[in-house]
Amino acid sequence: MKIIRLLLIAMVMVPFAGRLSAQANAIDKYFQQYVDDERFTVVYISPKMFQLFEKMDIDDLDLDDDDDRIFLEVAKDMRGLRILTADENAAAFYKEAKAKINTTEYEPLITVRSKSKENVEFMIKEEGNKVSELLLLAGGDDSFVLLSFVGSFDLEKVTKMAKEMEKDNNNKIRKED
Amino acid sequence: MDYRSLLDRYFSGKTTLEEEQALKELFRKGGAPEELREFAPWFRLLDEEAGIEPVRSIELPAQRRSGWSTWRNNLMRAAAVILVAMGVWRLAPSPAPDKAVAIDWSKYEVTDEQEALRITRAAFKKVAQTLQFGASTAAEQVEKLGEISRSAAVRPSDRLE
Repeated sequence: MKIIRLLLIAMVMVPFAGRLSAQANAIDKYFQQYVDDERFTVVYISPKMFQLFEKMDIDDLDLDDDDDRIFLEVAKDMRGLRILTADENAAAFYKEAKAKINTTEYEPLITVRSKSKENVEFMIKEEGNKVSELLLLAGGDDSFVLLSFVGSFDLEKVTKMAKEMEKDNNNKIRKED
Repeated sequence: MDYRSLLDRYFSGKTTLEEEQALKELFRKGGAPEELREFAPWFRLLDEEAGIEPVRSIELPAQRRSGWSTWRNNLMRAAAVILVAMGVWRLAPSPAPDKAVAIDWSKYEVTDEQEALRITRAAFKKVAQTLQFGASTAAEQVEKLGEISRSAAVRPSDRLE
C-alpha cells in the first residue's frame, strides 16, 4: 500500500517538476531560436569566474574608482551573468522577449516606456528574503539588451552601488567639462 | 538403472515426475541397494505425510467490509485511474512541442578574469543607468504633476481678482 501511495505522489509531482524546470530556463527559452543568429552578441560569465573574483586581491585589479569596492562587494554575491545584445531590430526583439519571458515569476521593479528613449524593464526574482535574479530588458531604436544576473543579492547593496556609479560618472563628466 | 546418479539428480531437483515415482517405488518396496538404504527414511516420511487426513473441516467466515472501507477503496481506485490517465496524457507526444534544447552557454564563456570583471562592471553600469533613468523619468513626471496642481490652485484666486 505504501508503494502505491508513493507511486501516486510521484505521478502527481512529475508534471510540476517539468514546469519548475521550464521556469528556470525562461531566458534559454527565449534565446533558443537565436543561438546561431549572428545578429546577437552573447556573453556568459560562469559561476566559477565569480568564485575567482572572491579570491582576487583588490590591489592587483585594474580598478581605481571610488565605487569599485562596492561593485566588487555586489559581484561577490553573483553566481552567473548572461548578456544578449543586438544592434538591429531592437524594438521587435524587445517586444518578443517581453512576450516570451514568463514575467509572472519576476517582479517588475522599474518599467519605463518612452517615445524618445528606449523602453526598459527591470525585474527581480525573489527567493525567500534574497533576490535570486536581476533581469534587465532594454530595447530602443538602436539596440536590444538582455542582462540576467544570477546570485543572491541584497537589493539595498545594488541600489547603493548604482548610486555610487552614477555619482562617479557625473564627477567624470564635470571634470571633462 | 543407476540409482545413485538418479538420487543425485533428485536432490538437485532435476528428475522428472516418472523418475521420482520410480525412486519412491524402489524405497517403498525395500528393493534399494544396500549403499542407498540411508535415504529410505526420507521416502518413508514422504509417504507418511501424504497419508495425513484433515481432522476436521474449518469454515472461514465471510469477509465483511464496512461501507466506509468500500467507499475508500473505490475512491482510491478512481484516483489511481485519473492519475494514470494524467500520466499517460503527459507522456504522450503533444501536437506542437516546444523545443527544449538546453543552450550550451560555455561556448560564450569569458575565460579571462580581467575581461570578465570589465564586462560585469559594464553590465552593472547599465543597471545603474537604468535605475537612474527610471528615477529621473519618475521625477520628471512628479514635477509635471506638481506644475499642474500648482496652476490649478492659482486659478480660483485669479478669478477673484
